[in-house]
Amino acid sequence: MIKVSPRYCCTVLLAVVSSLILRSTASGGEISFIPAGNYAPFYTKEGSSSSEDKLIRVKAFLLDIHQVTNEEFRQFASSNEEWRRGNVSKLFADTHYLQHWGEEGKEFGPEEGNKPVVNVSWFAAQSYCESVGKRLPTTDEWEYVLNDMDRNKEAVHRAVMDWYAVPNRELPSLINRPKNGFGISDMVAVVWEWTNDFNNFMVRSDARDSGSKAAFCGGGSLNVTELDNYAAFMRYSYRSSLQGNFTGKNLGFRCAKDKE
Amino acid sequence: MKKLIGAFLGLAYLTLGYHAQAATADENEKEKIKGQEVAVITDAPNVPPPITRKFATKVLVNLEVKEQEARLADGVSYTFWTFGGKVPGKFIRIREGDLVEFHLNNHPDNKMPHNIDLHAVTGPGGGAASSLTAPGHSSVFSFKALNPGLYVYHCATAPVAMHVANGMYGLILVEPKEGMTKVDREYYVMQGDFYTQGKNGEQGLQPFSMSKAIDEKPDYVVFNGAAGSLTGENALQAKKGETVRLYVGVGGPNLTSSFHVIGEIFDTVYQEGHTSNPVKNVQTTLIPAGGASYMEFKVNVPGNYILVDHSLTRAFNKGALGMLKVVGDDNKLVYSGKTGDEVYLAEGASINANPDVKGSKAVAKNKDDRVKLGGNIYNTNCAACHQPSGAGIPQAFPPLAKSDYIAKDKAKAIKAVTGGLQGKLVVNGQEYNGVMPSWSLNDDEVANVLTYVYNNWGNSGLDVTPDDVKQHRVAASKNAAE
Repeated sequence: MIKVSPRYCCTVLLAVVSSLILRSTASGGEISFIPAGNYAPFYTKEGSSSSEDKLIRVKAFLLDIHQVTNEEFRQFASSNEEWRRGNVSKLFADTHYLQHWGEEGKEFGPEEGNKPVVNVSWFAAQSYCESVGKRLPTTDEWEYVLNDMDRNKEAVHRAVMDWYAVPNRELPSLINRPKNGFGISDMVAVVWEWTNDFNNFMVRSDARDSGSKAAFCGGGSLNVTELDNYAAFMRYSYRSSLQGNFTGKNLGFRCAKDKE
Repeated sequence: MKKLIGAFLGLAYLTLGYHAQAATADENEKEKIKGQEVAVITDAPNVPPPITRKFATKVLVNLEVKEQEARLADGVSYTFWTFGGKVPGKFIRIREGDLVEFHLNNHPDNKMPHNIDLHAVTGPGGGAASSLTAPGHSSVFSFKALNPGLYVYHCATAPVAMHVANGMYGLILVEPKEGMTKVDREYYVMQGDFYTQGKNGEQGLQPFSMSKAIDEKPDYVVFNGAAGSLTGENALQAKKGETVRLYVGVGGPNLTSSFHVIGEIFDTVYQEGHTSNPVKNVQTTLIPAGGASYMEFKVNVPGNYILVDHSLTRAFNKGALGMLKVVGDDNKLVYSGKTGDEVYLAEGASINANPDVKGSKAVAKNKDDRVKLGGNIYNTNCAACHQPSGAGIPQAFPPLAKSDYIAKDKAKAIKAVTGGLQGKLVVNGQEYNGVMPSWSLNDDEVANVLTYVYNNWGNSGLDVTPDDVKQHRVAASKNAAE
C-alpha cells in the first residue's frame, strides 16, 4: 500500500535509531519518541483521488511503550477519589468498571499489577493521562505507530488474527515485551486500546451502509484502502461500537504526549 | 402482487391450515398488539413449537452473542462467534403482525462488537443499524413482522464476511396468520462454509484464514456448525409414515447449497422460504447464501436418509453430510430392497483386473503346472460365462470345449484373452455377437489359463508358454472378431 521512497526510509530509520527512551517523571510508563511521518490510513478522505492525497501526516510525538498497568492505575485511583470503583459516576464509566479487580479494597498480586489495566472507560483513561501530564493518542497517531512504516506487516497481521482466534486468553505481564520499529510494545494482540477520537470515524453501526462519508458498504467499503485487511476492519468497527463510558474486559489504553 | 396470489389460493388452501385470505404487509402493520410473551428459542436441530395464538402480540427475544471455541471436526476446533452459544444461532419463531422487542446481548468476555441483521425486518440494515453492540453491552430495538416467511439473520459488523464465516447466522420463522399445516416432525438445519489456516483435517485449534475466505475456498462445508453434527447419534429421527418438515438455511458466507436428501423426494418445497405457492415433487432445491427454504416430505420407507449439499465434494470431502433415521417396518411395496445379484458384464471391452490372480506368486515350470494353475484362473475369471464345463451358453457365450475358433491357433486365443473380443463371431457353426472384456493377466497367467483350456474337455492339448503370450499379446480393445 504505502510506497516509501528510499531517501525517506533512511531518514525514518535514523530517527528510529536515535529515538529517545525517556523515563517519565510524574509516574506513568516509559515513553518513546515517535518521529513524524506519513501513513496511508485505513479510511481515506472523501474525494481524495491521488495516492498522495490519501496519506496522513503525523507530527512527531511521544507514546507510552506499554499500556497502562493495573498497578499504575491503582495509584491513580487511590489518589483520585472520583475514580474509585464505588464512587465513579455511571455517566463516566459503566458497571463493568475495574470489575476484574474483584471486591473493592482487595489488593491484587504483583503479577496482576504488571498486566494492562482493562475495564476502564474513555473518561477514566483520559483522566489518568492528564494526571501524568499526558493525553490519549489520536487514532491517526495510534494507527501510524501500529503501521510501523510497514515493517513486519505480515507478522503483525498474523498476530492479530491469532489473537482473535483464542477467546479469554490470560493477559500477559507487560515486562520485557517485544518492541516494534518505533520501540513500542503490543500495539495489537494484547488488548484493544482507547484513542482520543475513537468515535470520530464514520463507521456505521451497520457495516454495509453505503450512503455516507467513509462508510462501509456491502461488507467492504468504497473508501477503504485495503479491503483484505480484516484486522483493521475489526479495529475500526470495535471503536465505533464504543461510547465514552463503556468499559471492556479486553479494552485498555496507553498515553501519548506532544513533543515539546 | 399479494392480490395476484389470490388466484393461486386453490393451491394454497391445500397447504394452509386455515382458509383465510393472506394478510398484506399494510394490514400487518396496523394489526393491534395484544399482550406480551417471551419467545421460545431453540438450538439446532430443534425448532420451537408452532404458534397457536390467533392474534399479534409483543414478543421479547433475548439473544446472547458468545465467542467460543468448539469442535469443527474430529480433532479440529475453531473459535466460533455465535448467536446463543451454537452454530447456527437460535431458531426464532414468531407470527406475522407480531411486534418483536429484540435484546442483543454481547457477552463481556467477547473481543468483538456485534450486531444483527434479520432478513425478516423491514427497516435500515434489518436491525443492524440499531444493534451495534460492544462487548459487555446490550442493545434493544423493536420491529413489526410485516411479511411471513422463513428468514436468515446474521451479524453485519465489519468485516461482515468474517463474522458470518465464524458462524454468526440463524433462522427466524414468521408464521403466516393462517398458521401452518401440522406435521409430525420439524427440524432446523443450516449450512455454512468455514475457512481454516490448516487444511481439512489438520488437528488442533484452527484460526480463520482470511485469504481462503476471500478466495472462496473453504476447508469445511458443514451442516449445523460441525462435521458430524447430524450423523450417528445426532441423526435426525422420524418414524415410518410421519411427515417431516425441514427448515434449511444457508449462512454462507459464500457458498450456496444444492440441498438434497438421498432417497427422498420433497413432496412440497417452499422455495426461498415464502409461505404460499409451494412447489411439488422436488429432488434437489437450491438455497442461496443468506437464504432459506422449508420442505415437507412423508417418510414411507424405514432406513437412513442422507442430507447432502449435492455439490458432492462438499458432502464427501468437506463435511456437508447429515442423516435422517427413519424407523419402522419394511415397506416392500414402495421399496423392495435387494432382490437379486447377478454377474453383470458391461458393454464395451474393458479391463478386468483380478486381485486374487494378480497377487499369486506361483510360477509354472512346465505344462502340467500350467494346467494346474490355470484351473484357478479359469474358475475365477472365465467360468462365469464359458461355464466350468467349457460348454458356454448358447446364443450368449461361445463354448471353449472343442472350439474350432481356437482349436489350432494359439495366437487367436491369446489375442482374445489379452485384447478382448467383440462383434460377430462364428464358433462351431453357431453365430455369436457379444463382448468379451480384455483381461489384465500377466504372461504367465494367460499361458496357464489357455493351457488349462487346451488340455480339457477334449481339446487339442496345446501348450501355451509365457513366450507365446509375449509374442501375440495385444492391447485392450484392439482385437475385433474375424
